[in-house]
Amino acid sequence: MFKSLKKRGYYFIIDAFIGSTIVFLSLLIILNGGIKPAKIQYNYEMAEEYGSFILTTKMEDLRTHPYVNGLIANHVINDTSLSIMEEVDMLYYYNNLPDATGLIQNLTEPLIPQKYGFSYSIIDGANTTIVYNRTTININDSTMVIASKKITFLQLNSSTMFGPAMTEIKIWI
Amino acid sequence: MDMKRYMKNEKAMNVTPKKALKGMNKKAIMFSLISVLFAVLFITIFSQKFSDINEERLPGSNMRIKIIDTYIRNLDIYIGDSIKISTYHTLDSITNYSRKNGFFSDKSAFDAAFYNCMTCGYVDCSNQSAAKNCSLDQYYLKFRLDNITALSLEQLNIDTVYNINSISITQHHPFEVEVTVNLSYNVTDNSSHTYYAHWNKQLIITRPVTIIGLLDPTGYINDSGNNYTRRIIRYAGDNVTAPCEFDPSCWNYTNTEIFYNSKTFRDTPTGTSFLQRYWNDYNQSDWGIETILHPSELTNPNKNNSYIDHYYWSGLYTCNSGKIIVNLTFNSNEDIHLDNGTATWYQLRNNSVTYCP
Repeated sequence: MFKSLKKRGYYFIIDAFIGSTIVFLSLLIILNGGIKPAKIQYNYEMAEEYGSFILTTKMEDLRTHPYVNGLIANHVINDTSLSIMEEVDMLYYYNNLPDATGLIQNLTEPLIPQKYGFSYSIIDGANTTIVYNRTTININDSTMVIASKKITFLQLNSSTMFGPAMTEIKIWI
Repeated sequence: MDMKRYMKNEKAMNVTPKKALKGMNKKAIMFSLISVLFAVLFITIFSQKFSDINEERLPGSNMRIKIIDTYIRNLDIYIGDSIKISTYHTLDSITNYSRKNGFFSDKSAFDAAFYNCMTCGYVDCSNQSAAKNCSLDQYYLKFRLDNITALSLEQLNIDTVYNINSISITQHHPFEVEVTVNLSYNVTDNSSHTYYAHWNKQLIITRPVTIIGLLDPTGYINDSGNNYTRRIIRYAGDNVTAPCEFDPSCWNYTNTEIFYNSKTFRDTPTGTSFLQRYWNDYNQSDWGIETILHPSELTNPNKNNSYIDHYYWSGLYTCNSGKIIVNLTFNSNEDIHLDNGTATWYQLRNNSVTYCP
């Protein structure tokens, strides 16, 4: 009698312990699946982060960059307090698209992996101007396109202002 | 059977079933406690991870909040820039309006017109007729703010509702005015059907606005034949030094001629400020400016008058009002007339002759 009681007790406890362990492990496995951001979210974050970099980084912080330094030396960039986005706006406004393209290209190459397609456009009213377009992958063949838009504007002097317009950054894979 | 095992069996034989069950329950409690402890341990270790997981499970709303935050930071800068651009254009448009309609009666009349031009594009918002149009095209403040709110709604799906509570314009510098706008706005995510986040803000933004390049209101409004079109250019502008800029004692015939030919304005506490010029106020101001008028830019120049602009337009420095007017010529051979006090201050008295009385 004692023996059977003892066995039943042990079985009961071990069973409970195993049960709770299984529940915990199951929870961990299920919830751990959510730690890794979905691919679409990762790409979207990359586009947004790149947008923030362009929006907030000032030209004076990029003086050591050879291409930027060259533009400063050639007086293409005269106001280094402008952010990258503002400088591109300025070049766009004064129809200097080649230098705007060069600037975005040189700053983007090390930041966005080659496996991604990339484009930087300015949407000014009804006009859309593609400043830079990296077509390592054709956008029509891509499985996913992520677009990040930011409002852009620039006071050019006391009486003139560019914008508000939209800067659209597209990343695709 | 050894002694120990024998004793154990003997002991067991003497235990009743009730006692045996009690002993086992105690062991069971111990195991249960251990399992609960394990559970607590697991929860403690992974609770941080669980909260991270929950955050990661809301990427959409997190992203939207980030986007709207960036938009709001940009919006504040945009409002500041728009105030500067709108003020600059509004001041010139009011000068043009005043050439047709005359000076404002006082500062409050000017302030009302300035507010109305900034907020509706008309001098009188309740009477939006062609005659009251400020002709600001796309430069009045409300138009510029409507521009960004429409764009944000269309392109970013962000809804912005704003209200301009007040606008004031003052002057604390000879070549700048200060504009303060009290504005409140409410920003919501228009893509969401649930009201999960909104931004309410009240802003008081003050921006200095240069007057360099603007029409000089006094001459522009006063000149009967509309010949006078001089704009405000600062004597010794940015990165340029000019004679006597910092040393009033150095004025003489040569340096005054340079100032005269430059058609610029210099700051002087005997002059009138830029804003005062809109309501024809010739009182001296700490932010006063003056220039020497060229007779060629005036309709029927009055030779009995001093050509120092604020004296000329006030009409208080004429021979008829008891002032001595002297006459001199600069190398341009223009016949210049100045009141005796000014001619003395610029050290021109030896180069001039009395014209009247």
